[in-house]
Amino acid sequence: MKNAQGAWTRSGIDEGELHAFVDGRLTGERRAAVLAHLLLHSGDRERVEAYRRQLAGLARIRAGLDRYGEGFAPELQRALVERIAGARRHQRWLRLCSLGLAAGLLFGIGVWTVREWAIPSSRLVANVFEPDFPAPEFPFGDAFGREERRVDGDREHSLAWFASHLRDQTLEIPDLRELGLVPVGGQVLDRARTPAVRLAWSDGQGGIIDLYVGVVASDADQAFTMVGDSRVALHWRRGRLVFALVGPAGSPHLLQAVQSVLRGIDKPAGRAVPAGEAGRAAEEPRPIRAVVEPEAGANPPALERPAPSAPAVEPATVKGAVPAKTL
Amino acid sequence: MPWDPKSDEVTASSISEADRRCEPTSSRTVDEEVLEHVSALRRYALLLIGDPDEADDLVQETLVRVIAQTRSWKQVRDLRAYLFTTLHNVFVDGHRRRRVRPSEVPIETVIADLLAPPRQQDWMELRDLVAALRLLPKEQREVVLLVGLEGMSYLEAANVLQVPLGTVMSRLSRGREALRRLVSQGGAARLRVVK
Repeated sequence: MKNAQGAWTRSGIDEGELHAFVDGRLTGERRAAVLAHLLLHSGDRERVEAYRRQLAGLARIRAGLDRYGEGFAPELQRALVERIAGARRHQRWLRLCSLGLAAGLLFGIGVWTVREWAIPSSRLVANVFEPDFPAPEFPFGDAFGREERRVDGDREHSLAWFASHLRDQTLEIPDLRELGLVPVGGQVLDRARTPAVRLAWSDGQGGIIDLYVGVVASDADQAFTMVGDSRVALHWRRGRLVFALVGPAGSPHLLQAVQSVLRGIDKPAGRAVPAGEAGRAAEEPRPIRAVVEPEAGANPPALERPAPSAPAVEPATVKGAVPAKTL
Repeated sequence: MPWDPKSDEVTASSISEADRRCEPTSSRTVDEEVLEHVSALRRYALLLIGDPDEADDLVQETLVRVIAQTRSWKQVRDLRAYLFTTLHNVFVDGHRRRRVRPSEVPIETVIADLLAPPRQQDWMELRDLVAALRLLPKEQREVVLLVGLEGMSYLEAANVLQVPLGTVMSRLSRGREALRRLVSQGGAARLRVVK
């Protein structure tokens, strides 16, 4: 330890610690060490006592001059008070502004979060209907985009042709009459990547609901897409069959049709219907089962007059439209 | 574990009541706070310089400089330290310009007059202490007063005086020891006079 002349004492207490002890700034272990040191070193003890007397004297002076500034330079004191008070007001104002800004931000974030969770709005619908699902995986090409309006195609021939492309697959056409939907036509989708047909129902008020059915080999999953601004398409797949139901967004008929179609699809495969009876698909639900392999390179028949945007395939070129032997 | 002077934070139990009054609290008005700081500046200057008029001039000049030159009060975190630092700078500048003239009235007499009449023994001790303070080198006197009179931590004193912490510790040690010897000699001299 250093003594007052700067030397270190043998007990490891330095001069700084002695003064820290005098000033009451030591606690615990170090304070105890200094106390022990002072018990053994009378010279340091006397110094410490003298330093404490100095402190006591200064404390008396301080206490006696506690309000020594009273009445001193009042103008200067007043000016200083104004400066400090002004600065603190400014700081308080800034703090309030910061708090207000933070509160506003929190409120905004809260409102935004609540809206995000609460609204069953078109935005959420859009999120659902414009998913990452790969709608292009479905084989219907740009049929939806072409806004097909022709619904007077030959439904029976469409189904017959489609059935010819099925292989050990049963398709049950739903009966939507109970929903007030009347079958109004069918169409072979000649631009589809795979065999696909479109079946149309009318709700009697100008609304058309289309069921697109195709055959795929991939494992495409269910998806929704928007068709234009007002129509929605529900795609789904069962086995090698792939479907798309398209209708006015928000239409109760469409939702009911979806349920009905899904019920029909999920039912166990029913009796095979002969191809010749395929035309009655509009009247009653019945399974279609393809038992004939399609001919290689067969072109789909155009069972209706093609829409302007969908060039027709000449009936004369239609081949392979072989009716199913048993349906 | 060795003691670290940088960690010489005053513990709650070691803060005197006078120390507590110096801490800015929301319960004090700004007027009271300023009065306390001006009182501290004035008594510190009085004991530092030893001449009441010179001390008051120093405090006035300090206040003028603080009021006139402080552009951004936002940066003033510790008002007491800021005022004392300014006073130190003004004091150093003034010390270079002029020599403090010797006071016509001894400072120990001034202090004794200012304080409430103490007992005879206390009065003599105080007079010896104040007289001894005047004999200390200015640098040591500053540290002894900032720590002993104003209750600043070693780190605060170092910041006010703009010197390293080790320098503060060294000056404190030498100043207190010199003060002890001076007071002791003064007492012996008094005894000789009495005899």
